[in-house]
Order: sequence, then structure tokens, then C-alpha cells
Amino acid sequence: MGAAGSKLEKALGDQFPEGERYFGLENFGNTCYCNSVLQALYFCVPFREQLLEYYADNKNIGDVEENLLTCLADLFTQISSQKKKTGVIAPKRFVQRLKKQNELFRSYMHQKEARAAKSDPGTSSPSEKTANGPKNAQANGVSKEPLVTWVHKNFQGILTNETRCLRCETVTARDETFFDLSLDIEQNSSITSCLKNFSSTETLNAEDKFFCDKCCSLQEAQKRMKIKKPPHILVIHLKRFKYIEQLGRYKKLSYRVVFPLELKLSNTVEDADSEYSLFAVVVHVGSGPNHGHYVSLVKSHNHWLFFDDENVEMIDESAVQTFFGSAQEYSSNTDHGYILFYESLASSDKS
Amino acid sequence: MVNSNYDGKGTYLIFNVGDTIFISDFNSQDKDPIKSIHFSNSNPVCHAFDPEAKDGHDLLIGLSSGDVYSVSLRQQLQDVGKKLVGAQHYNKDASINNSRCTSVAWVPEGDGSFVVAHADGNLYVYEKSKDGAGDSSFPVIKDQTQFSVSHARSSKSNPIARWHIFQGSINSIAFSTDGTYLATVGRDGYLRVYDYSKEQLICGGKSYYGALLCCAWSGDGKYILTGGEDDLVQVWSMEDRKVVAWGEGHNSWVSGVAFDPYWSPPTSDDTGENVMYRFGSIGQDTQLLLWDLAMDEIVVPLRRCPPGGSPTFSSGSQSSHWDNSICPVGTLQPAPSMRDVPKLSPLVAHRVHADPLSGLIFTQESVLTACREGHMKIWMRPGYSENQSSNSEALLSSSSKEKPLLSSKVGGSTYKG
Repeated sequence: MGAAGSKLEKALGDQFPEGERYFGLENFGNTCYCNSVLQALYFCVPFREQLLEYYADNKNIGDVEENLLTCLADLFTQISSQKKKTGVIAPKRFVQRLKKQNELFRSYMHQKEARAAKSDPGTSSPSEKTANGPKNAQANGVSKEPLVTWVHKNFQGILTNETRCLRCETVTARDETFFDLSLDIEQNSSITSCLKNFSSTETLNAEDKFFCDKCCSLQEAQKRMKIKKPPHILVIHLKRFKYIEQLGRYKKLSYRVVFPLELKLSNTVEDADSEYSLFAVVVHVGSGPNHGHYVSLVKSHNHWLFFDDENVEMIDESAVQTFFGSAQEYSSNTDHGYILFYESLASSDKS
Repeated sequence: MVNSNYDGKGTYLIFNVGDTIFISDFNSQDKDPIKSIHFSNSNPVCHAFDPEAKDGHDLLIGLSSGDVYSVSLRQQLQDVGKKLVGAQHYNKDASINNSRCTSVAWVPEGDGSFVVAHADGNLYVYEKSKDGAGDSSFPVIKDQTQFSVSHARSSKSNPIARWHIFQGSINSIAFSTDGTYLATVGRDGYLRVYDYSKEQLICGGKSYYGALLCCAWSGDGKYILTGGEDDLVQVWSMEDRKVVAWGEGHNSWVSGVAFDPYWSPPTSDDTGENVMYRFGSIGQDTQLLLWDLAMDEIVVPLRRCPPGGSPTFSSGSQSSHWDNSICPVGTLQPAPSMRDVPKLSPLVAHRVHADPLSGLIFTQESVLTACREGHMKIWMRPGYSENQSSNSEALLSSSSKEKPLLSSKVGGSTYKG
């Protein structure tokens, strides 16, 4: 482990970013998904900085009840305050808390958690739910804390669901917040195309009519989802785990879905043209939904790093394209991009 | 990946799959490769044929190691029994540049000079008449972010010049037909157009977002097509020095673009001002798209009013450049706003292969498509199909299918009619 660390330091040489820490995370059995998401969140710099700040502020108060976010803050502080530049850390407290939290959630079956579970249909291990981890802290009774607002500020966007009654032409718009977008995927497509499909117009008819308040009856209608407020950090989840009715089980879709290093959203209410830059990818390794491994690719100070539990390596930017997926169903390549993290390049409105 | 070339005596297909370059007789029934060159240490990734070469070396091959070979292809095709061999070896053992070759091109009317683009943002000018053995050192690039051209210190050097375009991969290059201009596209999403002999930037602009992957000139040098990671086919006007249209229709990255040089607009009753072009594009979505470019569609930008907004156009920061008559020579334009660029829709969209596409060539009788797994298809034009089998599609499968290319590149097609 120490050797691997020094190898990374050697690879970076005097280009090692000042004050930055590259630490692998120990695997406690089935926690590779958790580790991968943790790395992605750690290298989401605005989120990390605010979390560290929050931790520093609350250390003095000292009476904040332990929750997922305080455990995360604790872990991030632990990483960032390491004397060595590279190494391995055991995210013990966080994983324990996460397990506890999930038990809690199971009993309540909180709505948000249900959605998180829905977005990860093929995965049932508790660690699978970390993607929404820090955000769920809010649902767990700490919503009075100001910290919730900056978690929102970073990750929350607003979707608007526009339904147009085809009889009276009235448009009903219903807004909902989101922390990530779960996209259906197609073979040999791009994220741009998946986003377009996400916002394509759908006709509600036959059994699936819309109740129009103006007409006071069920009517045919057209529905589409658009992004009203793009989030500062855009998290895109590719629905690679699909329930196949004929099989009676989940199947992993290994489709080749290309994702650019820069992205603009076209399915917005207003012509935003704001640009996003890819900074992390959580990768699922394996051919099926019930087994496999998770690793992450992270961009830090213009270098790409590959995190695989304890191991951290430098990779070339061009290697990112090897995680797009397979153009053929049966391929030896089973490392596929699963969750993409994009950061807005527009000047953030952090006040 | 595929490059069809005419040598006056026949038409041959040149394509690379895995670690080998293959040559097939385009007019043969089976189209089995008749010659090949295998590379043991590195894969060929781009190539270019010079139909104008009077003698000697006419084929260039760029490798992923950065090495470049020239081959006297036409000469060696005379001798059917003989094995095809390389003639000259440039950038030997990557001594000048160790990043992968991304694109090679003969300079039109360039008297045997050629250009090799690399993944580190440099391109080199070579002369085929010189051997590649002399001292080839270039000054250190002072500012990686700035365009610079350096000429070799030694007169014996081959390469004779280095152009530093930017810091990032040059994904494709293309000369205008007369050799006046050189276009480059790359990782930073910019199209750059240079006056080749003056070594000066003329114009250019950024994609909507993401890298640009391919580019091609219209035969008259008035338009450049680019395609890239924003799934758009972009039409750049040299006269206006800006993007004049975006083609929407691909569901993934656009990997190849080409004008159809054999297509002529239907004769119209009017004064013929509505000049039209036909072009094609291929994508990683496995689709071949055909497009028409009509002048009256792109002269007036179609402006879409933002929903609920006033119909008067706001002079937004990003869009203001559109209203300015023309941007000064030598400057690069930022990415246009989505609403400012007229959109085109494809005439034809067809999934032509099962795998992402990597090559597109128009010939007089047909359209050729190639995919990354090494398959090629020949699509006969209407009226030519009777020359072929009743099926208007001939499938050519290469033998080394087990070695898919990670990312193969199309060498600039140098087809001459």
C-alpha cells in the first residue's frame, strides 16, 4: 500500500497539487460502491470545502447529533488533514453510520429513499444507497440545520413537468426538485441523446389520460419534463440495471453510452447554454447486476485518477473512453460508466 | 480507416484494422485484400494517399506510436506477387514526437511535402524527398497555450517545421482542395483554419461543447464540415467566418463528415442563386446521415424566441457575435448559443452497421461506410446498382476482426475523379 502511494507520488512528481491528498479507502466487504461514491464526493471541491468548513464550525459547538453528514465531514477532515500525501484510510465510522441509517430507512421507507432505491433497481446491498447519502441526512431530522441549504445549493435542481391538455390547450406545470437524473439508455448513444429522450414529449391517451382541472375530466394530453433550474453539480445516473420481465430478474445493460468531458443541457426551460465539466465517474465492473465491483475515475487539478478501494493510480484522460461500454452484447470489457458527476463551469452563485 | 484512391488504372481501397494496413482492389468482385503491411510494435491509425504523386512514395501511414511510414504503393501494386514494404520511416522510434499520430495529409500541390498531426497538439511538416535521419531538434515551446510555428534548426532536418496548435489532441486535419488553407479540429472543441503558406491563423470557432473529431472541406473551399462530441454536424462558412448551420440527427458523437463531390443540384428555374451542397455524416450511433445545404436556409438565422420572452432579440453576451457583421481575421469565436444557429435536418438517416462508424467516402458510383470492428459496406447510388449484384449492398468483412481498434481514424480521402 505504501509502495502504491509512493508510486503515485512519483508519477505526479513536482506536479503533485499542493495541499491535495490522494487516499485509497479500505473495503469492509461489499463497500466498494460506497468507497467509489465517497471519492467522487471528496473531489467535488465546492462540496468538500463547505463540508470541511461546516465540520470546523461545529467542532466547537460539539452538540450536533451524529448523522451521515457529520460522519462524512469527519471522514473528509481525516483525509484532508493527513500528513502524508497518499495512503489508505478506513472509512469505518461512516460505513457503520450508513448501515445504521439504512436500517432506519428500511422501517420508515422514506419517500426519498424509495426514489433512491428505484434509481438503483439492480442493487440491494445497503452500500448502494450512498449516492444520495449526504442528501438523505436532511430527511433524517436534521433539516433545521443550515448545512442542508448548501447541500441543496450544490446538488439540487428543479424539474418542471409540463402537461398540455389537448382539448383546452391549458398547460399545467408542476415543479419537483431532484438531486440526480436517472436516464434510460440505448445501445450506441450519447448522454446528450439520453437527456433528449428524458425530455421528449409523451402523449397521454387511452388508459393513461390526464385529468384536466379546467375541463374537469380525463383528457388526452402531452407531457414533457424539462429542467427549470440546472443544479451546480449535475449527477447523472445511467439505468444500466434493468428489470427484464421475460427473465424475471434484473439484467445489466452493457450498452456503449458515450459521455463527453464537457456537456451542455439542451432540455432546459430557458436557453441556458451553461457548460458542465465532467469531474468524476463511478464505474460498475462486471457482467451482471448481482455481482461485480465498483471503482471511480476522478479529475483533480487536471489529472485523472483511478480509485479502486485501497489503490489509487494516475490515468490518462484518453483512458476515460474505455469506460463507455460495449458496442456488442458479449464483450470482454465489463467496466462501464454508471454515475457521472458534472460541475457547472458558470460562476457559481455561492453567496 | 478507409481510404479509397484512384490511380488512373484502377481504384483501390486502403484501410487499417488492428495492426495491419490492407489494400483491396475496389473493382474486384470479392474485394479481398491483395496487399497488406503488418506492424509489429504499434497500430496504424491513419493514412493518406496522394493520387497526384508522379513517382515514388504516394501512401503515408501514421502509427499510434507516433512513427510515420511512406510507401510507394502504385509502384508495388504492379508486382502482384511481391510483399508490400514501407519505403521511408519518419519520426523513427518516436524520436521527434512520442504521442500518437492522429491524422496525416499530403499538402495539395505541395511538391511531396506532407503534414502529420499528433495527440499532443503538435503537427509536423515533412518533405518526402529528404530522408528522416538528420538532426531534428526544435526549440522548447515557451507557452503551451499559444500557437507557434518553429522551423528546424538544421537544414538537413526532416521534419522541416513544427506547428504547435494548442495543448491537447489534434483529432483531424484537412487541406482545402487547392492547398491554401489547413483546417484542424481537436480536443478543445475548436476548429482552426490556417493560411498554410503564411503559417497564420485565419479564423475558427468552438463547438457547441466537447471535442471536435472530424473535419472536411467543400470542393470549392467555401465551407468546412466538422463533427464531434456534441452530436452535431457543424457547417462553417469561410466567407462569414462563422458557423452557419448545425445539423441535428445523430444520437451519439459524429465521427466522420464529407461533402459529396459528385452530387449536383437539380437545375432550377431561378437564377441559380440557391446553390446547394450535399453532404454526409457518420456517427458512433452507427448511423449514416445525408444532408442538403441550401443557401436560403442559412442566410437568415432562424431565431427562436424564448418561451414567454419578448420577440425582440436580447443582445446577450454570447450571442452578440452573431450580429456583428464579421469577426476580425485571426480570431477564434466562442461557442454559439443554441438559439442563434439555424438547424438542419437530415434527408436520410440509416443505421448502416452494428458498430460505431469510423469511415465515410463518396465515390462516383457509391457511398462507402466503415465501422470500428473492421467491416465495410458499399452503398450503390441510384442508377448504378445494376452494375453490382441485385443486392445494392456489398459487405466486406476484414479478416482480423478479433483486433478491434480502440479508436481508428480516417485518413483524409484524396479521391480524385
